Amino acid sequence: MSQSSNSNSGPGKNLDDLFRESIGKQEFTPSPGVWKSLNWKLLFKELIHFNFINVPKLALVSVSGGILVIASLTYWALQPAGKSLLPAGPVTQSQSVARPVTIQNQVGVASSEPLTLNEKQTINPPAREVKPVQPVSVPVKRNLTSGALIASNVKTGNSPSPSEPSPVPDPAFIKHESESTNKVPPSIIDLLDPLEFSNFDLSSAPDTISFIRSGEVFTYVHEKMPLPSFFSCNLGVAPEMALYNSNGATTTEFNYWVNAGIAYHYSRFSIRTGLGLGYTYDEGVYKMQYRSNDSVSFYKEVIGYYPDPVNPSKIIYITRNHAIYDSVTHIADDRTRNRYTYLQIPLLLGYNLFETSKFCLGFEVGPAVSFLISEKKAEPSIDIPNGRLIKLEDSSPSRLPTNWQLWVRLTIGYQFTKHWGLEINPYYKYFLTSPVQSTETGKPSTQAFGIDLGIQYHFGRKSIKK
Amino acid sequence: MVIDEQIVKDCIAGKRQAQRLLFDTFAPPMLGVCMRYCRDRDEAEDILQEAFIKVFQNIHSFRGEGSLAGWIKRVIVNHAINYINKRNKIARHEKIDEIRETEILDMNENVEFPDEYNPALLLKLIQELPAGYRTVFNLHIFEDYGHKEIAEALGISENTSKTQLFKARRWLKNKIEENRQKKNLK
Repeated sequence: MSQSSNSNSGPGKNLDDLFRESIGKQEFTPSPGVWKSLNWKLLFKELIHFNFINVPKLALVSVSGGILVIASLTYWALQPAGKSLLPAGPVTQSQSVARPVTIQNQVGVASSEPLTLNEKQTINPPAREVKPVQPVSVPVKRNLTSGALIASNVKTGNSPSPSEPSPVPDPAFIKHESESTNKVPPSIIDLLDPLEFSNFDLSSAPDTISFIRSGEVFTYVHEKMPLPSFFSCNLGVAPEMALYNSNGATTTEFNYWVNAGIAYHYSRFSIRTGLGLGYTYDEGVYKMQYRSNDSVSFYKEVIGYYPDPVNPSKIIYITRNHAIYDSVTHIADDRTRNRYTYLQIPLLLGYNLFETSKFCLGFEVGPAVSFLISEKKAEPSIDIPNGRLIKLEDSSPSRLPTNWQLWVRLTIGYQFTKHWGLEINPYYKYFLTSPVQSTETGKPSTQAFGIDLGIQYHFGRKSIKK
Repeated sequence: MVIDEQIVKDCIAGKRQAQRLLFDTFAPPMLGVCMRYCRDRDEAEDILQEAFIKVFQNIHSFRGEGSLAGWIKRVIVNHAINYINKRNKIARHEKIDEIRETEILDMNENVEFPDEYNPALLLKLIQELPAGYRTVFNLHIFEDYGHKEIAEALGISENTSKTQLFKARRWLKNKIEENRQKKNLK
């Protein structure tokens, strides 16, 4: 280091000492903005590395609360007139379709419109003898097609008998029906006499129900719907723990992924692909060789002597130790943390073991390929006081540009609206080809466990109303 | 400056409270170091901030062999040197003067100064030094760098380093003398 030129003879100081002693240990308090700015920079760096450990709790709570509020609002906003879009029971693969029927010049058309009744409306059964002034299209209540509902109507027995004369319709009601075109007319089911549903034609085809009401035939055909098939896309993040086994030693690293994918669902089966971008980490190993001047021994310098007062024939020497320095070569190693960016493309085949309108549980299996797109190696810390670096060798295992994996993952989905849902997919990856190059000592094996958390959107998924 | 091992571990784990504690403990002396390498406080605080990001990112490489303060100071000084190098504040092609090292030593040893100089004034004088002089003077006087190390760190020749140091000393001596004369006249 520096040649000592700091003789301080006399009452004053030389220039170097003056500065060294006056301002060598000077301290200044940084302005408060320094830490604030530093804090933001650190937070930003953590966020772009998917590390959320220092995100303020208030921000986490706010974001979580915001997501819940938005999800709730979306859920309620998408419900027509207070009815849920989602069926309560399991999805069935057949639906009933009402055919248009002709009833006394009135054409009943199946409609999915919900039926509402004005509180002031009174429902009077129409009389067959009285023809309406003009034909009125009356939507048939969708539930009319259900055999269960028909049966329930049969059980209801508080209506007048078919033999009894039908009351004359109230002209006010007819007028009301004709004029109030904006209002939904009452369902025909409400106008029918339940007791007249008793005549079923059991000779029809199994998917057809016919019944006769007052001499007119109503036919309802149950059509089998095609198996549900739709596309879905998803976006999520996946923290992952990777285990690197090499020479019996296992090292663990945490990786982070952002995944986006698209899937095609056919019945309970699905096929999924997508893109994932993520950071993986491992340990960099550097071997350093440096030379430093170290004390290797010492010698004693005689700086005085005197005769032993007890035994004057002996002489006692006063000595001082002097260290002997020599340049010594050292070998050390330094561990760093390297970061690699990968792009992964999976191809997964899935099967839903269990599914309801809101939940589904299944699994997906398939291969995935990862491409190394960038690597960032940390510089080794060369902390050699009084030494000189001779050689620096990077012994980190080199990464291969591509690797193949086999994925197995459990898929758990929760559908909170018709289209939107959450998914939680714990997974396991087995690396068919190692991400790092084989070394002389053996081929390293790698496995990873993780959990993929995200949202999914279903395109054109059919929902069944109650 | 009592920073125990646990705080260092917490800093490695990225815990903000520990980082804040480390910053609060070491920022004042380190800002003093930065102030010597810069012209003003704003620039010094910028260097301090960026250097502390490096400290937190690389604290895992602190092996506990020396003092933590010494390690942080080395990071700060290295960052200050990089910062100055990036800004091309060093005149890399300085004309090598024919100065014998004995002259440098003579100049340092033959001049004596009284003790009563105001530290703020001395810091101001350092900050007013041309960037090249200032960096070499700081590295040699405060960080105990030899000319060879200064040459390697700044990418200049050893002779340039010696020249810069000589000129820095002469400049400072003249300024101090000027100040002393002004004070006597008053």
